[in-house]
Amino acid sequence: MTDPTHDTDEIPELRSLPRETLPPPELEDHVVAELRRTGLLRAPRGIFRSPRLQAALATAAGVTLFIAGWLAASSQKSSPAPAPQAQPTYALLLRAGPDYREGTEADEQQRVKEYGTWARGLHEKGQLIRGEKLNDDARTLIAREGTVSFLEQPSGEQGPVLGFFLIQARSLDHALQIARECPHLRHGGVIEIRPIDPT
Amino acid sequence: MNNPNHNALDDRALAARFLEGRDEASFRTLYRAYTPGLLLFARRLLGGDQDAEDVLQETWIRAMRRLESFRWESSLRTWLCAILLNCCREVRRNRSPQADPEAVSQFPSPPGLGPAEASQLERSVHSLPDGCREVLVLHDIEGYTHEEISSLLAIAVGTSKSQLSRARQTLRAQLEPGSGAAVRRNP
Repeated sequence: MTDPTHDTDEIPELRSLPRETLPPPELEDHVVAELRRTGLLRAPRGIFRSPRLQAALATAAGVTLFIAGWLAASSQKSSPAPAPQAQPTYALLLRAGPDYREGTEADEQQRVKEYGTWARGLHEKGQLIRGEKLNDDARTLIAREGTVSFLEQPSGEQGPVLGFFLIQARSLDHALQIARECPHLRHGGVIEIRPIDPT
Repeated sequence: MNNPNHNALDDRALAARFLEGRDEASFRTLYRAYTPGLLLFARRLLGGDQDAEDVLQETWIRAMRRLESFRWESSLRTWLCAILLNCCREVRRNRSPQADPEAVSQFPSPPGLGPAEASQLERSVHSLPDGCREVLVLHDIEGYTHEEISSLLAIAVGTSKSQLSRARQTLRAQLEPGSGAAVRRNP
């Protein structure tokens, strides 16, 4: 590429300057996460069998099992949680997100307790309706420019949805306040709060 | 590029595999081959590390979005440089006038120049007007020809030559002994 005709007044030191530098190690993952968010990159096949996602899903599964078990146990008792009042319903969508940190097996047990404690508190206040883990065997249809493309994976700009809670709250701000206490945020997860349309 | 064995055939195969299934492994291979060069190029054009990294990310996003329409009439490296140049220009246009002009990145030291001298040379390059700096970096550091620069920057070949000449004169004046910015090679 060098132009041989124009080098008489060249500054030789410039040629010796490096043309490459070592990028910050975290930059690659940031770029990949951004490409995923924009739908330009799909996760590698079998990502849901990767230790990271497995751990994330195990957490969600553990949380749901805990909640399901706890709710089942609660329903057998004679002192059920207070009956929910007529309040708007909100979905809290728990996503992995780019900063979601998986833990060791011991950490997972601790997380199940954290999520369970939080969910139990909601239940006691009559604010929890349901909590579910979503299966990772997902498909996504995307309509774009008149065609529909198909992905063998979940989609979402903020990472795949791992599970959800349906809660009752006085307002969106109240739902936000409840979600802020969810341990999922302490582990780098993302929570999307969506009012359920009553119609 | 990082991997000396990486070549244009690899690029086409990787791009095809990427387009076929939005394959992450193919993208990461391309990223690792070109990012070390693109990042240093962006730092030289912009100065600040954070801006350079933002521009690098945006470059890859735009490139992957447009890859399907890339016709391989130039090398992938040249095409990526063109996208990066546009991103750098957008950043400069949107920069606050209060932006710190002295905020220059840390650059790796080349063999033959001490760290202080290399840093001074980089600062002198950074102090050049945008147009002159772009041509100087592309020609004298990156090794592009005036014809290629003409295409990359959408300027005439004559303009590329005159910008380079002006850039070298300015730089030489700054680097002359007694100017306070002289660069001396290590013995």
